[in-house]
Amino acid sequence: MSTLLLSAPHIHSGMTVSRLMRQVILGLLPALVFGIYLFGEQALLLVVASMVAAIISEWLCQKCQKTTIGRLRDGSAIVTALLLVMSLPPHFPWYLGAFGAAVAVILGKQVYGGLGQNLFNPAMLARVVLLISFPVAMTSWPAPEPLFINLADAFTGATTLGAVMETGSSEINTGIITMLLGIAPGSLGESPLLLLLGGIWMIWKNVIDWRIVVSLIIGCFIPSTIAWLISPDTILSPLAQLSSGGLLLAAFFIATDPVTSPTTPKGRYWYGLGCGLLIFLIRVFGAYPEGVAFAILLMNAVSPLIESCTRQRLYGEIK
Amino acid sequence: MLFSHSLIKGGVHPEGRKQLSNDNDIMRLPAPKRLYISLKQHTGLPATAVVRAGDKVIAGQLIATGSGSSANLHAPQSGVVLKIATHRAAIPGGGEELMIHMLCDPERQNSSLKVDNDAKDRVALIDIIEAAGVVGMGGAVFPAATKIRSTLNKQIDTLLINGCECEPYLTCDDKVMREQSVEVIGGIRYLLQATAAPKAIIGIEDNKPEALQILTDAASEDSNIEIKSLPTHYPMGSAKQFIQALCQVEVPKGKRSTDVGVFVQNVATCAAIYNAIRYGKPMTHRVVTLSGGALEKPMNIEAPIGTLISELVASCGGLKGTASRIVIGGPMMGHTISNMHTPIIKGTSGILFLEESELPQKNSSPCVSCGRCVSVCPMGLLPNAMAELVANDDLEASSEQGLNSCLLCGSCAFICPASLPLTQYFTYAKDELGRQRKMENKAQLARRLNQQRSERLAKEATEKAAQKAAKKAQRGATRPKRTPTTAEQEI
Ligand code: SF4
Ligand code: SF4
Repeated sequence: MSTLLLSAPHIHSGMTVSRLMRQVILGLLPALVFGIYLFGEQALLLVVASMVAAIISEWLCQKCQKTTIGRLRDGSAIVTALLLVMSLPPHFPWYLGAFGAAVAVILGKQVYGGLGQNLFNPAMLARVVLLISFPVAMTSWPAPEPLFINLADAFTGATTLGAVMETGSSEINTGIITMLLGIAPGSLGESPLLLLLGGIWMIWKNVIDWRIVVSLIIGCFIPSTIAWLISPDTILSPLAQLSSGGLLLAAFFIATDPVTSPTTPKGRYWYGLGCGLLIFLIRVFGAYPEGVAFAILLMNAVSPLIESCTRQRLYGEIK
Repeated sequence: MLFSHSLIKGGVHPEGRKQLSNDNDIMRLPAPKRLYISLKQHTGLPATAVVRAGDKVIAGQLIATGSGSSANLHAPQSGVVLKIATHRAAIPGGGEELMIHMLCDPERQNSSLKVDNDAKDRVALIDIIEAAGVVGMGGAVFPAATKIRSTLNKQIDTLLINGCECEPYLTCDDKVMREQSVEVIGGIRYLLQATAAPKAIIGIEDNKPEALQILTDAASEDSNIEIKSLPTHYPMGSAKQFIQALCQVEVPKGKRSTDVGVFVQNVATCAAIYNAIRYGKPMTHRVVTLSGGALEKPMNIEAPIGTLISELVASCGGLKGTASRIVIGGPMMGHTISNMHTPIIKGTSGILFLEESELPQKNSSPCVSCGRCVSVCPMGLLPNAMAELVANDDLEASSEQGLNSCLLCGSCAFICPASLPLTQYFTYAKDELGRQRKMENKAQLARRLNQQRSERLAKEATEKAAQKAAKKAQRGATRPKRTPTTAEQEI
């Protein structure tokens, strides 16, 4: 009988990195599919092109750099690509999307040494690169054209947040119901209800930490409520703030990226709060109406600091 | 689980798999032919054999004496001592140890300890427990008497009796509680006397409803023994967490549980204490769980200390498949062995024969900083950070992070999605640090001995010189003068 001498524990929870990634993909799926349905084959092409580009880049990097950490199989490249496209305008040229996905994988992750080594969220890094390089393409928001229903051309072609910033008025012409469903100009995966659905499923499955989600939402909701109460004419209502501009995508899927968020439970509250607050501040005072990517990157940078400041108390340690 | 408040920090919920072995009654093993009783039942000094090859011994006779950190050993059965020699041991990493090899007689003869089973005096009770060679059976395998003796000059408010058995697969404590409730409760009464504690609490995880019920019934007369149900939550049975769950206090770093007024003992040990004091029965047997998917008939066996594992397996109907891993102890903290021709010792709570499908996957991926290990660590450590430091061989830094507090409970490695062998890092680092400390101590000891030696030599030299001077004075100055050479001075 051959028995290896291996160390305890001799049982395992069964949770693996690739299973986590698969579950994130599943969580994204409802909003993603709905986005494709809303924005047609151009959106589908964008999604496919980005995924293919991400997989090829990952594969190439792993071929060239033997010491790189992580495997193609773990599915992290696909998650990165999906997170990126979900935050892009749905009719963004597919080749630029592919370029973005390659940037995300190569510059966002592989140059740091691979899976788990990066400081910044790869998808958000790539999004910022695209925003700065292709500002026009990145800010043209087509009206949704659902495949089977013919919607009245009620849409202005600016996102809710963008419209507020341009017109300086919080009076928007999209109804709240259509907004909740995400039938509005916006990025590909922005349907609040479906994001909520996938996100809550992930919390239930213990894939993501509710602490970040809740504190991020609170971090954005409280200041926007205060601001809105002070100046209801120029500031979007808190509910609209929450349901637009990828806030939920950020709360459930992007800020919860394990690699770039703190590992300590207490640190996660602060991290989430910081993300939420920054999103609000950038939206209201910044040059870009969609503040998510910048807020996340900024918080990524301070994440190690938060982590070291929020160490848990040791058992039996007297403070 | 999401927002629930728990009695202990962190922890995990591994699948229990206790139903494999807790259905059947404890089986009494028919007397094995040969026994191999290790002189080293636990860490610390080995016991000293008091029998020699060829000696005839009867069951219960003292065959080796303990020395503070080790306990007395008694012959589980009558027979002949064949030899005292090394034999393969079921210890981490394999290896051999000095053992008393016995050939057993089928005839049953018994010798019991001479005890005064009405003893009321604390010291007298402790002496009996010591003579009977009772050790903690919950894993630590520390002589029970030594531990109880440490309470003589301390005030113990609560006796905590550990019936958690939080390790998956293991059911030996569960079975002991269900089948030997009289002994368990009786032992607790003696322990209350010996430690002068006013009350005892038995903590049992709620996945053992029968044991909870039976002990509650058995202790219905005792107003000072309380039975408490605890949530099934690993590592509830670890002493520090057990105290935290039952008393809501933490044992301060570097202190013992007796410093916070509690004394923890395992249920099976209580039964052994009862048998020792009530019947003068030394600790020669124990209940062992044999379980795992590769075993034909998982069950609990009461076996003499020194029985070969291969014999235990045979009496469970053998293996039905290939055991990919044989584990001594529970699956969370136990260690593997590669040879079944090794004997059980007083601390062997379980022997698991695990199939491939029960084992964790072998390939680990990189740490994705998911923080799961941090949130499950019952000691509040940062396992991911510590492991990274150990991987970089920065043991000092990892011990600053609290490595010494690590229980090696395995919760972090159990939950880690990257399947990183976190506990393996910590075991290595602890061993390594321990070794370094030992070397340091040795060097210090050597320095001290050296110094003592030169002092002694100097003293002897002066004494010699004084003697010589005295002699010379006696004999008068008849002989030529001679100064002692340096060589003479140094001898
Ligand atoms: S559980 Fe594993 S992957 Fe997650 S932070 Fe800890 S070591 Fe890293
Ligand atoms: S093995 Fe050590 S570090 Fe890991 S969870 Fe247990 S106490 Fe914490």
